[in-house]
Amino acid sequence: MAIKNKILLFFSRANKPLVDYRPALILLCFAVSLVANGSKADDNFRARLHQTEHGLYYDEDLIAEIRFGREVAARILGSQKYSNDVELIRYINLIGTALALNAPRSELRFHFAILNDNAINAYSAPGGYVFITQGALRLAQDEAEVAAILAHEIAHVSQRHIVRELNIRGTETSGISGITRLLGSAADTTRAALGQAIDKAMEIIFDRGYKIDDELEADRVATQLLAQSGYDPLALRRYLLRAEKVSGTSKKVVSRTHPITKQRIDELNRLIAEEGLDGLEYHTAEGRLARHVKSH
Amino acid sequence: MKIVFFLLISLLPFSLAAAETMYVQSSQAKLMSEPAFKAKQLAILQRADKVEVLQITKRWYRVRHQEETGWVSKLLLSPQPPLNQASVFKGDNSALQTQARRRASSTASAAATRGLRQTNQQNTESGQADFQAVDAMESVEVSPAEAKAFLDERSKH
Repeated sequence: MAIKNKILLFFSRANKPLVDYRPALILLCFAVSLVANGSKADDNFRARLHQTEHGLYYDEDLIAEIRFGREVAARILGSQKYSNDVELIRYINLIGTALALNAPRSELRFHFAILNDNAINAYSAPGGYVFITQGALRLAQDEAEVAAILAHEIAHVSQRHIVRELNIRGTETSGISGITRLLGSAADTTRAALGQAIDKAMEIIFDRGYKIDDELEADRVATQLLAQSGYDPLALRRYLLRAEKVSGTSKKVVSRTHPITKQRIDELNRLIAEEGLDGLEYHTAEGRLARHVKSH
Repeated sequence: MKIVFFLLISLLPFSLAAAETMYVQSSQAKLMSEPAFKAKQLAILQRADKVEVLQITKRWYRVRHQEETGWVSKLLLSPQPPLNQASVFKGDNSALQTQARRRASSTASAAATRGLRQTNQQNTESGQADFQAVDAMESVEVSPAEAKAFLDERSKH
């Protein structure tokens, strides 16, 4: 009854309050503030929850990723012919390292190799191992386009696409996690489990391809990475459109492991429009690419 | 007047709590005057720099760093400090330079300090692994300074 009276008094203009309403006003203010800030707190909670699900990683996880990626890289290099052209390899590593400076995962050191394959493609393994084919290099018309290809692969690594899909972790949680334990074991059973995990990674890289959402994310991240690095952010779209026109086996390979170009172009167009990336002055370094690639 | 004062005081803690701290994840991150790549570059933030998030858009955070306020790409910030750089190359079994946020796991810790080095050629059930080629791949070193100089030279080409 007393409470009811206080409420009535609080909202009554005709009567002078019989009690001091200031404490109640302050309490109300706190309540309003809680509600107002509730959405922000909730957003933060969701962000952290998201990060726990996809992005909260520990030092052991990083070691596991690099060690696992190294195994995958060894398998790739064991099954493909690779270039020993020191000058060209250094050139590609300069482009890639420059891009990696602006990539989100500074804890990784990226390495770049060239595969002697005429197919137009590029691959990456967790931990920072990136591969580009001679065919992909030859199709590029300027350095920004090579940077675009490498940025796309860097993005697969930085966004942990294979790590997340295969649940590569440093400690045992579920699935094929606990990779450091597998790598450190000499037991046949654990080596077999590691072999299966590597097989799955190879299947993603060379056969099945990434999830479509992961591919589209890699395109978006790559385009932003190009812009951050001062390269032409339209280079990836330009390159994809040219690759689409290429006929023969080289195109079949890239089509098998990547979603249809139209979908990728549509997504890139959206990003370019939203971020106002069209018509800006960026570097393409066409002459530098010609000196390094066309002469080989 | 007193009431207004009480109101302001009561709202203050919540206003402060709304700002979120984030850390630069990349080696460098451009602080822009507007949420756009074409905007004026105000400063370059460094890896692990701490910023206070003031506003969020689809792809950008408006942040305060020390005395400066500007926009940073969402890709480059995270609520956690960046992980330490791992060193798991040949001949280096220390695995990590520091252990800032090590999760308690004796199994993982022991495994992490084991040697990484595999024999140069291994025949696996699904094919051959060439670790010698991986060694060669890892041996190509480009320093951040070299990479930055390489980017700066683009205008000449």
